[in-house]
Amino acid sequence: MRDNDKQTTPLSPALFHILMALAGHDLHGYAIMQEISRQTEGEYVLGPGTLYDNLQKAIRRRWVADLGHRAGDDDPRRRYYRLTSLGTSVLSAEVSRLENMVRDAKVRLRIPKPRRA
Amino acid sequence: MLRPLFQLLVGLHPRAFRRRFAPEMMSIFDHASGKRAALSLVLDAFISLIRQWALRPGFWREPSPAEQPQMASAGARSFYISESYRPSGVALLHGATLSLAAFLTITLAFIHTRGSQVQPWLPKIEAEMSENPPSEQKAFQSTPPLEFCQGRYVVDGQNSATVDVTVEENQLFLSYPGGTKTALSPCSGSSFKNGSSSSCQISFSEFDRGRFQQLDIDQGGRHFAARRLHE
Repeated sequence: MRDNDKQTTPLSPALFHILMALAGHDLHGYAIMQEISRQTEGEYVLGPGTLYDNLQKAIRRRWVADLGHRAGDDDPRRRYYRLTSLGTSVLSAEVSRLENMVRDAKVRLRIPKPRRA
Repeated sequence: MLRPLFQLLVGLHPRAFRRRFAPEMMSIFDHASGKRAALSLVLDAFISLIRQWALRPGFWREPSPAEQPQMASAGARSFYISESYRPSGVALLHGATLSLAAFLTITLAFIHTRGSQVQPWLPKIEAEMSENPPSEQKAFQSTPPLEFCQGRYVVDGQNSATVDVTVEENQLFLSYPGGTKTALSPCSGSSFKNGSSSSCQISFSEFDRGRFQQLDIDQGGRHFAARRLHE
């Protein structure tokens, strides 16, 4: 894990889900919301205020690129977003961190509880 | 109804945020189906508005093109951890002002719509208010219309003893059955005195249904309380 990645993780749940949604495809805001809802089976619902607040942060940090409007879209107001290579590495770092945490948690859960005398 | 409100909330966001995301936010709102979804989007926009002004002063303006290459320069720290961020005093002041304004607006809205089904706690407040005795709900600072006092009163504990209060030529009279009629003159508020006395001896209270229900008489060092007789 690089130093910069250490400084940016852990990610907030909203930002993590947004980056994860964008990992597969370029998406517009509404599609990101739908993708997050699909990924979490409706458990995590992101409002547009939270979405664009986090997208704004991600764009400033250059994790996400704003591709602008796309010709032929049925709603001309939509802008598309793409995960950058920096964003991919941040997401990878977060996934590694979570993997380590899960591994550690599994090890701890295997330790038998002390029995009463 | 909700769309203009949502549009207003989006329009109140900082300029940089608004310019970049407002059309998309409106697009998302237009895709929302149902009043409940629209309401949740309005609430989300309201929270976002407070968050943008209170916690995101760095995003109030768009970075100039000259700043952008500097941000991306190699080796420089081009991002930071949000957890270590401390909002500035100005940002906190903006946030506090905005929160106060929002609180007052919502409070006024509730006050002006009291009685509607939207505010479940208002009936309770009204019920608490109605528990106050009617006499406490209306206190006369000046002499009330004399017709409010007029009627027959029964002295407490003595069902046979009655007191008649009458109005003749804009003058209040008190009389006992078989006794003489005494003219009363206004004293203070709903208290009266008989012509020769210097103290307020007779007072009316517990105003209800357009009439005083209670009559108190102090006479010769004794106190008499009488209740209005409803015929």
